[in-house]
Amino acid sequence: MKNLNTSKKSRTTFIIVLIISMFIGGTIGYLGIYMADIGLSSKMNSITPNNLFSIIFYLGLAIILILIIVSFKLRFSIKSELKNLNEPSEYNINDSTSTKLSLYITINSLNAFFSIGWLLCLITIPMQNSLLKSFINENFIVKILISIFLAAFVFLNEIYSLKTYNKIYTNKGIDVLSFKLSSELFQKLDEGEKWITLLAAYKVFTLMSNLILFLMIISMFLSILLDVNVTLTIIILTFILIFNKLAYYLTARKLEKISD
Amino acid sequence: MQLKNRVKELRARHNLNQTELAKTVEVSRQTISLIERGDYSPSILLSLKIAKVFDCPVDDVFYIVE
Repeated sequence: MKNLNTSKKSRTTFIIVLIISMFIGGTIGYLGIYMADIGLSSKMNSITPNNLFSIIFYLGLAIILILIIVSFKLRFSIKSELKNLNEPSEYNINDSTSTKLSLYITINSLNAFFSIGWLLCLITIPMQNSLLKSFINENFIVKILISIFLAAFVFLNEIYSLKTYNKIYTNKGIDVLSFKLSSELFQKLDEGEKWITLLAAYKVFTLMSNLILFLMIISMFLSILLDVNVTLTIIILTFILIFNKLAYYLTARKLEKISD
Repeated sequence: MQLKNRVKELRARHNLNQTELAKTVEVSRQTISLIERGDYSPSILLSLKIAKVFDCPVDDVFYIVE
């Protein structure tokens, strides 16, 4: 009965995905013809590296500042809730504080990844087509310094959030500067927490595999439509996809080995 | 076949909250919550520890439903 329900559910999901894909495919096809008519690809080419640098700088700055504000709001809220407890520990914090703490760590971690990506983008734009000479001016240096300062600040904020976590979950004791952070932490989890981590990691793995494939196809279409060279992006995405699958397969094989 | 349990019921009978039970069997509160909801089947070791807290055999706490 359960199998029948599962197969019905997967058939419905397949039909929904098929319909959505038809809409997406149709829309991309239509846009392709439409854009070719209005000459959008030539308009896209009018975005100069200088414009692109400014767009990425201000957009990234806004996102990072918003994430910092949210992170600080959470930090003060957690601090005030912990003040009411004599000795804060995983056994006496309430559900709301626990949820806020995991959100706080996640936001800081996301912000750290985003700020590094943002900084690298800003550094690489002037390197394209040897534009460094035309870029180097006071304005450019100030922007790069701001982004380096923000990336460092976000990184320190992440370390602080992990230290707050350590204060509550004393038995976990994450070494914030360890390169083996994830494997060390996993060993310290109890069996229920390991189960949650396993489920979450498996979902992320399957989602990422599909997402990367989807991004490769979208990149190809964008390359055709907008006349932008994305070969390197597709190569990197292919490499990540292969590495992901291979690492999963090899780890699973290692664990599946039957001893005599 | 499905593994069911009476952890919530026995916990209430022994006047224990999730935190107290978790502390006694040395796991997190989330793990006790997962077990009570039936989202996670505990290991033999944890099942024995939980049964010991309630002072009853393991199959009084955990049972299989066809």
